[in-house]
Amino acid sequence: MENNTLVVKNLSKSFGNRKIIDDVSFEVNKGEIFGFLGPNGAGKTTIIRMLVGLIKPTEGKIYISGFDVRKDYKKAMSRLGCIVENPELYSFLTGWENLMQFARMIGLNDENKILEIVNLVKLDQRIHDKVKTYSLGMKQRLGIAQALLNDPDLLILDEPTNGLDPAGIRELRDFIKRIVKFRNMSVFISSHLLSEIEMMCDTVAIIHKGKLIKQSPVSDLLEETQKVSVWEISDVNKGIELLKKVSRNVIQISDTTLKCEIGKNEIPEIINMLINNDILIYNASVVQESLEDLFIRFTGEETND
Amino acid sequence: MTELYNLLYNESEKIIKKKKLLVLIGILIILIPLFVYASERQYSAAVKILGTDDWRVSLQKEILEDQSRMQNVGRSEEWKKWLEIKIKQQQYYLDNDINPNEPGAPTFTRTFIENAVSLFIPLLVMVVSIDIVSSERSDGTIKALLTRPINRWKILLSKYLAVLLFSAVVVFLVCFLSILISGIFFSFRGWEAPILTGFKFDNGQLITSDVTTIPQWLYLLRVIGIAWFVSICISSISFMVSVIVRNTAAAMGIMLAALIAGSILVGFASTWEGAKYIFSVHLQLTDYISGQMPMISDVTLGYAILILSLWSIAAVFISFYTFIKQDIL
Ligand SMILES: Nc1ncnc2c1ncn2[C@@H]1O[C@H](COP(=O)(O)OP(=O)(O)OP(=O)(O)O)[C@@H](O)[C@H]1O
Ligand SMILES: [Mg+2]
Repeated sequence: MENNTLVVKNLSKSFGNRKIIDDVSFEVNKGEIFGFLGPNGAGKTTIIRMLVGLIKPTEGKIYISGFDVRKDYKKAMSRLGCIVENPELYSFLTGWENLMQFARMIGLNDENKILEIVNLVKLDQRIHDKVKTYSLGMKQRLGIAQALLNDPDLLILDEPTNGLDPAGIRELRDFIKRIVKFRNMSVFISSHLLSEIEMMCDTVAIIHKGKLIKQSPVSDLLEETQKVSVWEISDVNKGIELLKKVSRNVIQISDTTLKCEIGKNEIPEIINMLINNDILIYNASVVQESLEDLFIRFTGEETND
Repeated sequence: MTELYNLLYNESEKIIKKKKLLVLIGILIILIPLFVYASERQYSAAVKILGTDDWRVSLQKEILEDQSRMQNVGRSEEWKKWLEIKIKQQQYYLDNDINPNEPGAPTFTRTFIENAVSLFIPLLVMVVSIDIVSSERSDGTIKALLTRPINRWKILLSKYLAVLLFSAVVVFLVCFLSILISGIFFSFRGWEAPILTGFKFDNGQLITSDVTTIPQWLYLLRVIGIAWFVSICISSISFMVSVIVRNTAAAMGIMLAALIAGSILVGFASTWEGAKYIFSVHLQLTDYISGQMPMISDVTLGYAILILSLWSIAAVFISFYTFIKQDIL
């Protein structure tokens, strides 16, 4: 447990008699970016609210840097920085006043340190403007600045890229990778976008309908994805017959293209077979099954988005 | 301790930066001159009806009438004693050349607060305190506030202290602006003028045995003290509503309804016993020291204060109990 920044054991939560979260357990190691993946309504926000002490679990335990969130609330919270859902800050105060509010709450009065964090999130130009004049991206960065004030071991971000444009998303991604490297902390990021988790995280946990259905390193998950090959050939009808001998799931995509599930090693074999049958190959490519497809395979149903 | 101080500082900064106090000062700066002008009109109308603006003559006449009434046999000793005090009071006005009806800053402020204590001041206090928790909830900032290494009860305590602090500021502003504006219109004189107090009621009978006069400044201080007490109760109850109701507009509606219902129910309280358990029928506390007949026959100043205190204590208790246990969604 020493090496785990976050330990969640058998967490459950019911609202009335509806069980929203059902026996979820996982661990986040030191210095790791942990992706928490699930479709809308899977229970990501509900779990995060329990992690940060906003709602009480019906069952189960949560430890942040070894401190029980319920029994050692103050110590656990002092090791934690978070943004739950949107970066909600006092819009009638300036960015600086907002940071000072939270600094006062943790007894931090070193203005240089606050300035340093302001520079880190690149808000130095606008920090003395009212927050209501900020763009969403700036609010997001101010939210992160606020979460970093207490040098947390664990940073929890709930769908941080929601509403950001592609440039903003890339910037956030680079930023998170940078702070993890320099500050040696763990980051817990929830998202309903597979591509995002793939690009940012080391480990991924997949949650669906309140249950954890998979937890593994992102690289392992990528390896598990199946390869699909796409063939552009001169005689499609004959091609289908031939391909069916070596592969399942042969689908005609257009007048000249076929798609089939196949391992890498079978490709030369297929090429020889096609050539021997006088079929011309205009294009042959191998594509990876998207994580979207993978997700559907795990959960056995379509995501809602 | 420094933690609590920092939290209180934060809450004060938020209240001030929301500019609600400025709006409140604006309201007072517009309304008080209006009331000042109205009482000026009333005074000059009275002068016109009496046909003379020599108040000395009418005071002297009144003293003579009272003196002849004192000669009346068959009156109780108590009654005579009260007349004696009244004559002394009027004699004081004559001797010190004070027109008792002429408005000055202390007189105006005293009557203004007496009239404002049951609805106007509670409304102002309510407006300042009602969103202290509910606005954090509707803005979502409560999530940032409650994920710090500080226990929830301490956060809530700082908010309650802030509400108490700013309700006192409201009472201070009302008094200060009232004295300042009316003083500029009329005069700043009349602090030492004697005011009758010490009336008691027993089964609807006015008991005058303890009636005395006190200087107006002391009387005004007591009236302000009552207004302050009322504002503590109103801010405590508003605080509870703010904790329980998520939506600031709804919270304000509830308090508004309670306050206005109270001022209407006062009229029914003589026939409906149960009304005396409602906090908002007891806000006109100044009546007990000025000698007005209270609306509810067996209610005394002590009883009214007890009811208001019980409501406030219960409100604070409920606020803390629900807030500490509650899931923040
Ligand atoms: N207070 C509540 N009472 C009853 N059900 C609730 C409550 N809060 C959330 N839920 C339910 O819990 C489930 C999980 O909600 P949650 O907000 O945690 O999902 P999420 O994974 O964060 O979704 P999203 O991607 O849309 O943010 C939903 O089905 C929701 O309807
Ligand atoms: Mg969510």
